[in-house]
Amino acid sequence: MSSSVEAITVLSSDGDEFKITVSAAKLSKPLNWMLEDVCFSDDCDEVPTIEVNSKTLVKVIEYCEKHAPRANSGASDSDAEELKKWDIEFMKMDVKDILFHILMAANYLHMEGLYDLACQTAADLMKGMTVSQIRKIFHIKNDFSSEEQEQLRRQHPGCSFD
Amino acid sequence: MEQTVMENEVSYLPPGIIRNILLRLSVKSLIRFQRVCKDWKNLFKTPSFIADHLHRSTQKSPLLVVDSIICRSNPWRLCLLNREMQALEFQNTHITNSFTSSRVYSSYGLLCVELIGRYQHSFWLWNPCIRKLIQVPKPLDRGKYSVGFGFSPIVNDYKIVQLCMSDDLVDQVEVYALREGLWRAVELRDLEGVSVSGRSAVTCNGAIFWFGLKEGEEEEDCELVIVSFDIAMEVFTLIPFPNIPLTLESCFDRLTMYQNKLAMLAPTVVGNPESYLIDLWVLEESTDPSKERWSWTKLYTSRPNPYRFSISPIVWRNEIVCSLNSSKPENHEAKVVFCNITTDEFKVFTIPKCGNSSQMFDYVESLVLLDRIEV
Repeated sequence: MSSSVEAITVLSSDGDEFKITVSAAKLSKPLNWMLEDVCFSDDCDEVPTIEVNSKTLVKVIEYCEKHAPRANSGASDSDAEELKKWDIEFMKMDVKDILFHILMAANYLHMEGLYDLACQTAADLMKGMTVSQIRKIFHIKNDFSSEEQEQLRRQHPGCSFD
Repeated sequence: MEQTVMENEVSYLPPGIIRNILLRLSVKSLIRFQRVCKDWKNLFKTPSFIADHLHRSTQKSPLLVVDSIICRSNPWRLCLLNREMQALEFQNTHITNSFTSSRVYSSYGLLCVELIGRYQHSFWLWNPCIRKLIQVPKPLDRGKYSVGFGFSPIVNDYKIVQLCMSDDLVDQVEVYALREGLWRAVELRDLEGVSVSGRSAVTCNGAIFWFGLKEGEEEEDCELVIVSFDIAMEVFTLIPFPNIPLTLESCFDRLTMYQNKLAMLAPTVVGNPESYLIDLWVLEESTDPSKERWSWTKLYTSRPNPYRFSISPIVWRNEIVCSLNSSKPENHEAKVVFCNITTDEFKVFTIPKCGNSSQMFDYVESLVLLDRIEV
């Protein structure tokens, strides 16, 4: 790859084109490998596809661009503090709808920071949910008999279940 | 923007990702979510899930037990502080055995409760956040004894150690390992001719430590030592006492843990009017054969302050913590001083307190024993 390249173009699984700066792409191992690959040389017009849908990819790229300067140069405590606040705001956006997609994308793209953040956000959201809400968002079927449920209720009387 | 587009799109998360999310939930939430499905209920009981969850909690959410009320007629209670200094309480379990006093030992998400009766004593393993209590088989009852309790990551097990003494010297040691579920005798070796103080056991980094007194040739030349017990290997080692001016009386209950190492808190009196300094000494073990194996390093000295640090001070996170007054049972609060090792700042907090124990210790919520059947 020539060092003059500052941004690369990738395709989402929906076929949309996205630009991502080289420094931001370095946050992901698979993207980094792609960078080292020949397909980014100037005379190649093949655009690599990332198996992440457009809506999710927008968010992932937004995260990468924000975190890239810090990841590449290290940052002061005040920057870290600022970034933490940014992360909280970032995760506040329509998370219920695309959080799971972000989780899968972060996992697939080996992005440890985003994966941790998304797991923690999911866990924080779950805290406030009832058992039936949990079943719904994870698409889980209740496979306990009513006797078994009653028994669980008896074992942990302190916990209100629903 | 409308977000209904995704409504019909089923997003099944792979089990690995779900596990990673669940590991971040509190014990309370996990207990509640056992009811989601059988897979989850079984997952929470697997030793690897319990261990990974505990490891994460130890890093993220250490708690401080400021009071424990173990009594016969009411449910046992623990009063705690979290890292945001909010008060929490666990209340459950209640047994009808007769006892006159109790002592609580804490290690890696599990508590060992020693109930002391007039003629005998008993041990119980208690996980208050999942409300599980297990009685340990009857230990030796031989009058004077010292106890230690701890977890070793090497053998991945909890053990209770009981040092029995006759004529003030340890003459019999037995160990209870949670996995084996029985008491076993352990050889004394270096512990011959040593007496151990019963009130000071501290557990860190896979070892239990007590204050000890090693008998010399003459009756007067006794030497202060630290007795350490390797929980995995079940071997005792005598460690030299730090070269600091401490009398035996003032050093009881001053052992603690700092950054996973054995530490000692030594207060000194300075100035007029009287004020106090508190020193933090840490035990380092060297693997370099040209050096002494054990050395004590003074890591911190506080600025002069009006607090005596006389009631069992401990280190919790990066603060030296000490109760300021032994509260009376009718007094529902107690004052606790926190001395921050990083910023050298002192803060006094008033905390709710209902018992009269002056014992403070660190604790972490865990799922340990969830896989056990209650006896």
